[in-house]
Order: sequence, then C-alpha cells, then structure tokens
Amino acid sequence: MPKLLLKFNAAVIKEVPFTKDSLTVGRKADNDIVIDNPAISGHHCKIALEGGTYYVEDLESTNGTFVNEKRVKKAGIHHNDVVGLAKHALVFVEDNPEPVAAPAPSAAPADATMVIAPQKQAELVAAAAGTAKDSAVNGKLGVMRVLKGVVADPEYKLTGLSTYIGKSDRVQIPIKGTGLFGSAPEVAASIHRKPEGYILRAVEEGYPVVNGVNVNGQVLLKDGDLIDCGGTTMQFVMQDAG
Amino acid sequence: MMATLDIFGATDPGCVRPNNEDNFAVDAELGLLVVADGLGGHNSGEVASELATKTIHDFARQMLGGPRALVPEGGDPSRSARARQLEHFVKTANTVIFEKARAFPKDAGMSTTVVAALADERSLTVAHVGDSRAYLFHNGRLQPVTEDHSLVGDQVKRGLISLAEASKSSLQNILTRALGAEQDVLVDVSEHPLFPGDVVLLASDGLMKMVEDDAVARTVATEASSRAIVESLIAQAKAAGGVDNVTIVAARVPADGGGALKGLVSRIFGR
Repeated sequence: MPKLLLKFNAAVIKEVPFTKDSLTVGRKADNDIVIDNPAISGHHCKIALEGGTYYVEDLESTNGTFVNEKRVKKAGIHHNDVVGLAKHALVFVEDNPEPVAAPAPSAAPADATMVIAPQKQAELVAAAAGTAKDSAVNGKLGVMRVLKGVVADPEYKLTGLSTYIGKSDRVQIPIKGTGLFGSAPEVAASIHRKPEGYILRAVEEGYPVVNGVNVNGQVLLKDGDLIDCGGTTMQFVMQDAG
Repeated sequence: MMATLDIFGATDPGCVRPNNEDNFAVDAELGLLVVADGLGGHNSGEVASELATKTIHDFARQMLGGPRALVPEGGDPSRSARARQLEHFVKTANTVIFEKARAFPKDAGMSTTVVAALADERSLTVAHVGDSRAYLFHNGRLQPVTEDHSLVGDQVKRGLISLAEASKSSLQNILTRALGAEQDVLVDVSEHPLFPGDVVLLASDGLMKMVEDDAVARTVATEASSRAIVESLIAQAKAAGGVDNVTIVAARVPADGGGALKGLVSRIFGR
C-alpha cells in the first residue's frame, strides 16, 4: 500500500497510508489529512488513484499546491515526489517502487563517482577480485606484544595505517626510557601497514632495534620479530583478523 | 607562543570539467585544513562539498575558537580530545548534508568526500570519508595517512590487488562511504606526531589520478613554501591532462630554529 509522509520543514510529522483510493487534504476537520495551519485552505487538495496512477489535484486553494516545487492544478505523482503545501510537504512513497537502475560498474562513465551500499560491496569485491592472492597482510592483523617495560597496555593491535612508538604523549605505543633520567626519543619509530606487510621505520635513526640489529631507514617486520626501543621490549605477531 | 604552520590551499576546475565540485577550507589560527570533493554524476555535488567544508569550519570555530575548547559528548573515550572533536565536526557535516538532501528534492542524493585535519607543530589529527587523501611528508618520505573508502581501496586493503593494479582498475569511481549518503557515517580518524620540516598534504582525487606519488614527494621536498607546493602540484595535474577538479591544501611545520636546544633538554630529562 502506498503512503504519504507529512513533513513540516525537514521533520516527518505523520505517516498516512492509502487505506482508500482518494484522500483529501485541508485545514478543516472533515479532511482525511488535516493540517491545522492558516496557510492551508479549508479543502486544499485531493490525492486520488485514477487508472493505476495517483494524481494530486488542487482544490482552488489560496496558496497553491506544488509538485517538486512546481505549482500544479493536477499532476500525476510517483515514488518520492514531494507535494508542497505552504510550509508543509507530503512525500509520496510507493510500497514497491521500480528499482532505480544502478549503472553497471564497468559501464559507468570514467568520471562519474558513485556510492554503493555496504551489502553490494561484498558482492562487487568478490566479483571483481576473483581469488585472493597471497599477501602478508591478507586476513592477518599485526599485533605488538610488550614483553618487558610495559608502560600502558600489554598489547597493541596495529589496525591503523601508521602506529608510532616513543616517549611522547602523541604516540600510540609508549615506551620506557633508559639511563639516569629515563630518557628516550619523543618518537622513536613508526610502523606502517602496507600491502606487502608491516614496515618499521626508524624516526630516530638507529634507535629502534629489531632482532638485535639497530634500524636505520626501515625494515619489513616478520612474525615473531623482537623489537627493543629504550627500556621496552616488544614482539611483533601476526594474528588471524576477525 | 606557538609558531603557526605555513598553510595554503587552492582549487582548480582542471582542463575538462566545466564546473568545480571541489571545495576547501583553511584556518591558520585553528590549524584546520579541509578538502571535499562533491560527487560528480550526482545532483548538487558542489552544494554538498561546500556544506561539508563550511560546516566543519563553523563548528571548529565554535568549539575550538573560544578561550576554552569544547569536547563533544559521547565518542570514544580512548581517543584524544582533538580526535573526538574532529570526528564530531565531520559527523555534523554528514547530518547537515543528509537532512538538506532530504528536505530539497533538487538536492536529493547529493554527497561528498571529505578529508579534514587539525594540526599544530607537534601533532596532526586526520579524519576522512571517501577517496580524498591525506599524506604526511617526513624525513624525505611521503606516507599516506588515509585509506580510500572505495571498492578498489578495500581490495588493496584486503590484499586482493596491488596499488598499481588499483590505479588502473575500472572500478575506481565506486565509493563505499561518502558524506551525506546515509543518516550516519563511519569516520576514520588517525593521529600522527609532527616534526620541524614535515608537510601535511590534503588532496582531492584530481591530483592522484594525474600525478604519481613519487612526483608529489619530489615536489614537496624541493618547494620551499606551502604555496609553492600547492601551485606546482596543481600545474602538474593540469599538465598531465587535468581530467578532474583538483584541490590541494598543504601545511608545513616551520623548520627547526631554537627547537634543537629544547629537543636536547627534553631528551635529557625524558620529557
């Protein structure tokens, strides 16, 4: 059964199903849809089914009846059309509207960007990808386990593109310092998630140590790698995501 | 007391499109950078991108501009205040666009991508929805800090295709998230430390389609100011064909001066 949504400005005030073929709209109490507003005429308009289509007809109202912002005397209405009456609007909703033909992805013009609903995504990803290729990150999530020198959490999941390690309050993985004053770089290292795996980059050259070797530049982390930063030792582990 | 960042933004319709559906906003006082790319093919793309940049800027001014910065109710308490603020601004923009699209039939279905950043010279917070990107240039490397919310972006993330395959895919224009498309939106927020000399770059896909990441990195490394970086990159995108609108905002952390001593002191005392 189609229905009308009565809206005032952006808010939906009321939902009116078509329990019969013809509904009248106006200010007076004998209408099917009563809108108590001085700008609405006593009998403002009528929405009726004629030959399979719903028509809205203006009943000589003072302020007029509009369909999609155009003033009309009588007009057919379809799914999502908006019938405007002064500050109010009636949105016509069909129960099973004809599906809007979504353009096939490959047929879309090169420059038209579109958005798709989440349920469609999984299908498209699957269809476009074929079989999954072997990848270091595929289906796996990197985790940093703090073995020694725990400052905050004992474990950090590397979900973000970039994760930072250091002494500062600006980083995700805080570390213990070394020496008399417990000093350590504000940011010692960063870990970046890439298609080929997780990369550890020295922000303070030579400061982070992976498997006993000081890191200058960057290294690709492997499952089980031991990372020393100042007074903190961590192990990098690949886990099944999910 | 804080040296402000060198911020510059510009937009160009490119060489092919008659209209510009991109918008940007910058505010040096707040350290705010926003780039939005209204969705082409939909109605009112430029309306959506303008609403996004304007709403985020307005809310940032209201919540951060006064003597006391306000933190929105709710949100993930494990995140920093600034991450929650930025997420709130982006979500508010989503609501504004969604409601406007619902109220005005001519704007029905409009949406936009957005990437927004709040930065000072020590740290950076980035929030994004869609396929406009943010990059962080540090120590000679250009590191992406956003992952596209697009079909090919998802495929790359799952390791199904490589980045090179993604840039040639026929499915590039399909977004999995956009601002204003639905009542609620999931916003990705990330935080990064900044160092003297770092450059933050926000760009609509008009740049990435035209200019390789390596060329972007070279430009950021060689140009001396944010303005020079932005103008050079826009020129390169147009020289390569400029098939889409291109919008770029850059923020550069002033190079070290006097900060070395401060850094040494903080290192000795561990703070």
